[in-house]
Amino acid sequence: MNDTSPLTPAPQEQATLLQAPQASEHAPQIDIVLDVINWVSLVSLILITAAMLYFVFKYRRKSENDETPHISHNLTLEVIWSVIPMVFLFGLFFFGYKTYAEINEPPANVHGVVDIYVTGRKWNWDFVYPQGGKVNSRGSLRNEKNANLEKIADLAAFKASGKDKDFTPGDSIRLSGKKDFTLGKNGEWVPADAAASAKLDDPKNSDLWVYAQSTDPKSNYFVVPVNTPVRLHIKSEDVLHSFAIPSMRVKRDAIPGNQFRSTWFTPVKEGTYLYTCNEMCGTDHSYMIGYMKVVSQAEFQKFLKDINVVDPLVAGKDCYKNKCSSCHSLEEGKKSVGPSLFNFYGSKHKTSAGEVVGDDAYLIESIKNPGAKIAEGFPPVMPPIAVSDEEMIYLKEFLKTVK
Amino acid sequence: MSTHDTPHADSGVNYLNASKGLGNWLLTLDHKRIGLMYLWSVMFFLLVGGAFALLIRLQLAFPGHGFLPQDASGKDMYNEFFTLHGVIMVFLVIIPGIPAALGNFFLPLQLGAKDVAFPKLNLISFYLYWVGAIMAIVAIIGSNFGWWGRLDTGWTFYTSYSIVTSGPVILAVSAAFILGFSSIFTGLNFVATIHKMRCPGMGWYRMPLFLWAVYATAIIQVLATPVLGITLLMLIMEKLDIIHVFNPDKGGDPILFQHFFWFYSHPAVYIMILPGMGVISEIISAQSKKVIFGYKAIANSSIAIAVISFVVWGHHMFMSGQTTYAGAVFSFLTFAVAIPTAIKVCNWVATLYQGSISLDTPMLYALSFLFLFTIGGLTGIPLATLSTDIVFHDTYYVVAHFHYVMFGGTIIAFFAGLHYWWPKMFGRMYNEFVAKCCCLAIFVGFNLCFFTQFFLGFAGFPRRYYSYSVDHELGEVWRSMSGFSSIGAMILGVGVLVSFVNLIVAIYTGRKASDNPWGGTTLEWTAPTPPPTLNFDHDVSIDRDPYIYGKNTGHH
Repeated sequence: MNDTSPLTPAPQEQATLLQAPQASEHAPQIDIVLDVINWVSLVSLILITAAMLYFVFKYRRKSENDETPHISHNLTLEVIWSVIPMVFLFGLFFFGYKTYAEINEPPANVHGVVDIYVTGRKWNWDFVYPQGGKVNSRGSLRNEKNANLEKIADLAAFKASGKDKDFTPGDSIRLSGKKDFTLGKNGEWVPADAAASAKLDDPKNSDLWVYAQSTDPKSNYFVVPVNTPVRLHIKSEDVLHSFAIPSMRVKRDAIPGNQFRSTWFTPVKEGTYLYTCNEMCGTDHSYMIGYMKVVSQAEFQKFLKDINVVDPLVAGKDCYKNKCSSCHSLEEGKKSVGPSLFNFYGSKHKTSAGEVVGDDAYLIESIKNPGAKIAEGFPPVMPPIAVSDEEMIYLKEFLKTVK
Repeated sequence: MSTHDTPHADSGVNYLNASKGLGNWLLTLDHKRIGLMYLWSVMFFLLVGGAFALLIRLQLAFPGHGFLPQDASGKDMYNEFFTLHGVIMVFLVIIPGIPAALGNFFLPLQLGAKDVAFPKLNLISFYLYWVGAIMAIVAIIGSNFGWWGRLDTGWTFYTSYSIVTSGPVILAVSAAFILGFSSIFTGLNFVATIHKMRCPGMGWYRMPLFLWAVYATAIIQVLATPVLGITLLMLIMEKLDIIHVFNPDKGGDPILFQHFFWFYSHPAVYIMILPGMGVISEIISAQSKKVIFGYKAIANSSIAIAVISFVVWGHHMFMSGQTTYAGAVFSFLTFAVAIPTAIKVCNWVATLYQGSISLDTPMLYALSFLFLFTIGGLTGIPLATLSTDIVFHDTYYVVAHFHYVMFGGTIIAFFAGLHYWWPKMFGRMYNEFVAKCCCLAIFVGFNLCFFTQFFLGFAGFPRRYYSYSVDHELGEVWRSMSGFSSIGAMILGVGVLVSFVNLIVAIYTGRKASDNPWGGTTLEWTAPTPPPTLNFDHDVSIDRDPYIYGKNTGHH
């Protein structure tokens, strides 16, 4: 299990029937609106039910020849029971809108804010920290020394896990004890050659180090510091997912495409909190769950150091070199096949779709769907480039420094 | 014209025995026979959909793995269960339930007409219903033979999962497409019938409120259902790789599907509930022997609901990253649709005031409706409020809320209507004691099953989970409330099954019913029991309001 940071959860409150723990700064703001709704609803329900039962009891049929008064309507009464709910409902609308607006749009610059890029896929979540490092909801911390999962020990166990179906001939994997195998053309796993093993030594390929899924769900976690604003940037790689942390009152759909969609919260209580996937996404929808640990600032820094296997600026620069540099320079104003990426972030770019400000969305769109906005003065020759979400995040961090 | 006890020649010939043989039934143009065929179909599918619901609750009764296989096959099977539960209940039970079964039977009778405007179209609607139903059945059976994967998208067919799943999405979506046409044709037929075939003297404001409700429903069916049709066609073409509207990998937008889908499906929620409201208006008036309070307010609020329902669809997408501005607009409009609904509830309660209230089975169901539907309405408020929706979106709170509206509202109203009109349809009374026991079982079972799910929602229990762990801060609520919910579901299941048996047994062994067992004043009670093929044995006209119980009867 995890041998480097204690990350012991503080004793924490449990959900009650009417409330999950209020572990974020905005949770009480939401809950107060909810309490008002619930109380007013309860009173309305009691009034309606009491009136109904009272009438049923008082005016129950005494004989088949009962005569009843002809009361067709009563304008005063009808106005009263139209206007009162109207005033109440529109008041609620306003308060609901106010809180939502604050949560929905993260502030651009908050001191000390922690950004986390959350990517959903069938059926796990990646949590990428732009400081360099990633944890995954299947429990594998990215570097081996912190892996809190048992690595699979032999081929039989590997096949039993069903993970072998994820690979195609030519792929190599690493099992526990540096046992490396390559999938042959006939679907048989054969011991890997030296070149393949060397490739597997690179931590960047740790996705190919095959772990058994943890039996202890509490080992699947990502970490945030207490009393610090956290911005989640959420996206999906395949189908719709929805990322929710009930005790933080956080929820946002993860949508495939070019855009990270952001939400934010400030955790105020240390502890371990469940997160879930809330949008139907297939077979293992109900297993896209895990834990968020809220820890002290010091423990958080230690966690970042533990998972840090890549320097984001180095990784970002690598990505630039491998995938961008043949057509885009980093020098101010130097035109190549495409425009220079100097000072990309924050400055204005003239494009075929009008002037746009360089930001995440424009960068991602330009890489994945280059035809959407063509930079002025350049031909539309760029093909879509395969850049993983993680590379993208490091690339962004790198480009922000090029100015 | 007098209303009670109109004498008629008891020739013994009625719509049930006017002609014999399966062929005469299957090719009938009589709205009552078509309504009856719809009714048997709807009751059958209610049991099938209910069986899937019980399997879901069985699986979730305890934390950890339920009774299903613990591998991918079991999970996919579970996903198929809730998808089929949703598809069957929405498209084959609730949407056609009251309008196509009870509406078909009683719309012409309440209008004083001999049939609907287009009897052949009516029969075509029924067969389209079955074509759709059979396609849905083939989709289920096929996955068991391994012809395709399991239908596991949920009844909403959300992209982009529906694009990539191996389930028979195209088949199921085609079924929904065809069922949509069935619904459109029924709606067209009812609009034309209400406009053109009201008996002499029946002005718009002399129509029974059930007809106003069916009319508002029919308008939504005609205007909104084509949007569903187009959406489903686009999804089929997307799956066949012909066009790319929804697939993000090919430049589409998966959220666009949700906009299209809910542009139909939110108005469709009112297709589902409005007819139920109509039934309740009839029963509360008749069983209280009292003129309905605020007739015009109830009638007009049906139309208001129908109109506003077209502009609230975006409240299904508060969490999808739509702009705050769009969220605010849709939240506001959603609150607006709550007001006519609140007005109706107040009117029903006010009708009871100084009435002569009997507690026959239809009234017990109607009173349950008032209580359950009020809960359903009130629990919609936190979902319409932008900030609190963050807590409940895609949790069991939503499940509980819409079951309070769809079951506590529509299905309870359907049961109320069945027990109210059964004597007229078959000329027989059911066992009142058994019926009341079933009503109680359904009420208790339903509340135990679904009220507990509100608490699950407060604790963030997500929808469509095949299994759940309790090893977290929310776990104790998940464990206890899931267990109670499953117990409630079983009680509810027994209640529904026994009440169906009770009704069907009554057809064969029930005592003979009089023409007007509840003392109702709408026109269907002036027809012979069961009605003859052409409904009335005399020319029908009317010179009064539909509800004339008061001392000062008639005009106002």
